[in-house]
Amino acid sequence: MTPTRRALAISALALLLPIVDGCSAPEPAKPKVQQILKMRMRENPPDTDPAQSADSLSDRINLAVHDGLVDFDPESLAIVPAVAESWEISKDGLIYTFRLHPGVRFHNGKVLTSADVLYSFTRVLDPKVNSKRREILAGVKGAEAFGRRSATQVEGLSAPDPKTFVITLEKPMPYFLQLLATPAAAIVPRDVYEDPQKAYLSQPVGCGPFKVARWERSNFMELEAFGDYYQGRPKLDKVLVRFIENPASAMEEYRRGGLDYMDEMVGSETSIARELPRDYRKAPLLGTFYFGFNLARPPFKGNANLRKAFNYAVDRQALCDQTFEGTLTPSHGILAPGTPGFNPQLKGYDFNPALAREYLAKAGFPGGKGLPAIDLWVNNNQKLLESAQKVQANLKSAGISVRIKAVDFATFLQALQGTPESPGDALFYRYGWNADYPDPDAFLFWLLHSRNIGPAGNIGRYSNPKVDELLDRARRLNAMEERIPLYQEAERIAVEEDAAWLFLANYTQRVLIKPFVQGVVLSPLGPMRIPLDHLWIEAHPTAQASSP
Amino acid sequence: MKSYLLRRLFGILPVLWAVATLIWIILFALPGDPAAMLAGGFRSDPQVLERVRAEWGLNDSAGAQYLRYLARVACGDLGTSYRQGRPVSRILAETFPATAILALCSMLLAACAGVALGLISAAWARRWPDDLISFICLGLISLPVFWLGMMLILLFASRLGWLPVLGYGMEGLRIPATQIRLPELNHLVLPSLTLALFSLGAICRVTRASLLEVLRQRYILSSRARGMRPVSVHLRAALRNALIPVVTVLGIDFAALLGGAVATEFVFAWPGLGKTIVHGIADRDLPVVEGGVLCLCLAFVLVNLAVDLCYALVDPRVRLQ
Repeated sequence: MTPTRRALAISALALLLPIVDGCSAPEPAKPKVQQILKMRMRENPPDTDPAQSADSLSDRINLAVHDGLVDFDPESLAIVPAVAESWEISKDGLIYTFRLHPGVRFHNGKVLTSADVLYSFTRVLDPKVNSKRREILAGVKGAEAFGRRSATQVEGLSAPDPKTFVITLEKPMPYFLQLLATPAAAIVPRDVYEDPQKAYLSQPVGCGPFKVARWERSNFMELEAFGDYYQGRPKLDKVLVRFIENPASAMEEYRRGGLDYMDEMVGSETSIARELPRDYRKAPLLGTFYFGFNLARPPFKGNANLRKAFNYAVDRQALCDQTFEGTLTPSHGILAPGTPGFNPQLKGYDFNPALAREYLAKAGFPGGKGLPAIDLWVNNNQKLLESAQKVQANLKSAGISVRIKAVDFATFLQALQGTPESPGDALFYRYGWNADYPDPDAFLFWLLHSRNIGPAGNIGRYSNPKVDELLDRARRLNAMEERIPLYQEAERIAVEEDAAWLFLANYTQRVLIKPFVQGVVLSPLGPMRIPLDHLWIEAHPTAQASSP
Repeated sequence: MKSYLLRRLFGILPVLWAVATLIWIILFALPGDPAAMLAGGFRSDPQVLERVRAEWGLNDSAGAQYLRYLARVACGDLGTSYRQGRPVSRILAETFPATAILALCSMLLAACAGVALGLISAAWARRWPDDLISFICLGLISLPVFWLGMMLILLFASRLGWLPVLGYGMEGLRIPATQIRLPELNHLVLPSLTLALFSLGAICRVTRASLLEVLRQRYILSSRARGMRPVSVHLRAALRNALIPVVTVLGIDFAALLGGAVATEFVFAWPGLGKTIVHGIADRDLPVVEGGVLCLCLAFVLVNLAVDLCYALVDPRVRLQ
């Protein structure tokens, strides 16, 4: 190398220095702080106002920050006291009298009284707030009049003294306490939530076990143990929620010790379970996965034989084993195992291509002749696309031609829902439903009752007066043992007589959680219900700590 | 110069109007109902849906919605996010700095490394160092950013443990009198490096080509004839004249990085604007998308203006009129 070129090379290398410098001087690892749980969430919680909490991300944060009158035991799903230490239900099932726990404080130090409960529940029903979850209190006496603005207050809500709260229902609702255990029934302080600037959206204030100490959107949220929590200060000092959208990056961060918990992962179940056998946990979830038919339009309208042909044509076991790698379990009906009233005797549909062809002929399309190609709508998601392809292939073997239409979620939703009056464009579509409360009503009423046709839940526009009547009767009864036969009969009609959907599978939940995190209970209602206030870190990991 | 600047700044207004109109038309024509997304997705109460539509004026005619939007933007009000219920300007103020810092660092790295490698390449033109650098540059240009980012994570974070896997950090310095918090330096390295490696190839290739062209000029021959040292010929006589196309590429790359770093933001969980806009599109949060695109458009125009001003600095023969 000539001196000239050497000088040139040195100059060029000098310009490269910033890169080398950037790589060679990492900051030293920070010391690990005691009792901090680092968990991943895909993105920011969209709704930190509990009255609008309608997705798992929002529910996760709202359940940590807020408490309601009652709660679910995370494992058994029995109703347990929360802000209300006890309650009485009148014999006719109409009047609920709650006695509030003494010494409950909000994060801002204010003492919680029954006036706050009254405010919080009125707020959910207030048309100005326009709560997405107003249905949880829609059965309260006077709720409808208040919603129409023909009354200034809700007749069925009253706070006779600071420690007593009374709810009067329009008609008995045996699952009413379960509705009160959902995140939307949280008790919020009036002085904070009346703010027209809605500062509570960035700085939520509740009476739950954790308070929001810091929130940098799309980066992290720091939840700090609330020292004055009425059920005792949580064992964890902090929960650091890190917003990491890419599951592959999150997996690397988990492996490296920057996360202690995550509930969405990449890789096959076998490979994850093999790599992290002590961390990997799987549990059933009260949810159902199916492909829906638009029953208001031909060819599905009024043609149960065609719908049965679809049901016999699909190999559910292969779909669950191969496409979903065991993360879904084949289903024969609507209710998920673990739901009260789950009927293991329900026959449903086994994979039987010959029977599928027979029903196709009965439906007026022998060998698929005369049946136009049907669009199968799926929102863009790798697993859903793969499942659609699997179903497409199965149907093709039976002589049914299906074209996959993959679109983004907003387009998908519009094509599905339509309005209560007119159906959407989608004839055949993927759909899923998770129960908010552990009751057959949480599936069957919303998905099958003709009152809920359209966006309310009955997207397929299924309508059978007999099923409506059974569901209405079941709603009026108090005793579960009397209700269950009615729900089972309604499910049987929808599945075996009407073949209302293409029934496919039930969901399971999969999480990764470090073995040193103790007290973990996976709730059948979903991983967002892992009770953060019951967790603790048993021993400090040796893995390097990492900040967001 | 002053009148040139004023004229250019005034010229930004019609560009912004055109972009604002175009983005509004595109978003209006998009399938998907923002109200359905807001009212609970799969399960929405029809009454809630109706109230959401009324609250956000989604039932109004297209003309009325457009005029209301334009009047609002003209007054500097970018509106309120449907999804977050917060002013769009605040959301942009939180996310744009993170993207700008990332883009700036990436450009600095890419410019230094690209120009340096371009110089080496030109000095050893058509010999093995040039071939090697060309091969590396073409490789870097062709690699998907997403893949490159994951590979860097696996190497520097997972295998070597030198750098954090992802994130922005919690303790970076806060710029006084602003809401802006700088990222922690060790968190900045991998995302900047990913974007820099992607841009580096083009900068290197342009520098090399431009230098080789300048090196063929007669004044270079005369410099050499006067006994000027070859290193001075390259660095002092040739490089400056060869920089005009490089500055153009740098400007375009920088502006593109401001809006196009989405994949990197996604891989490294970087709380930037690109990701916010993508979420806005998915959620049909129209005010966020409109505001974000306008913000990027403004940044793009201003960067181009800065590039034009740089021409005059780099090459005194350029007169701004």
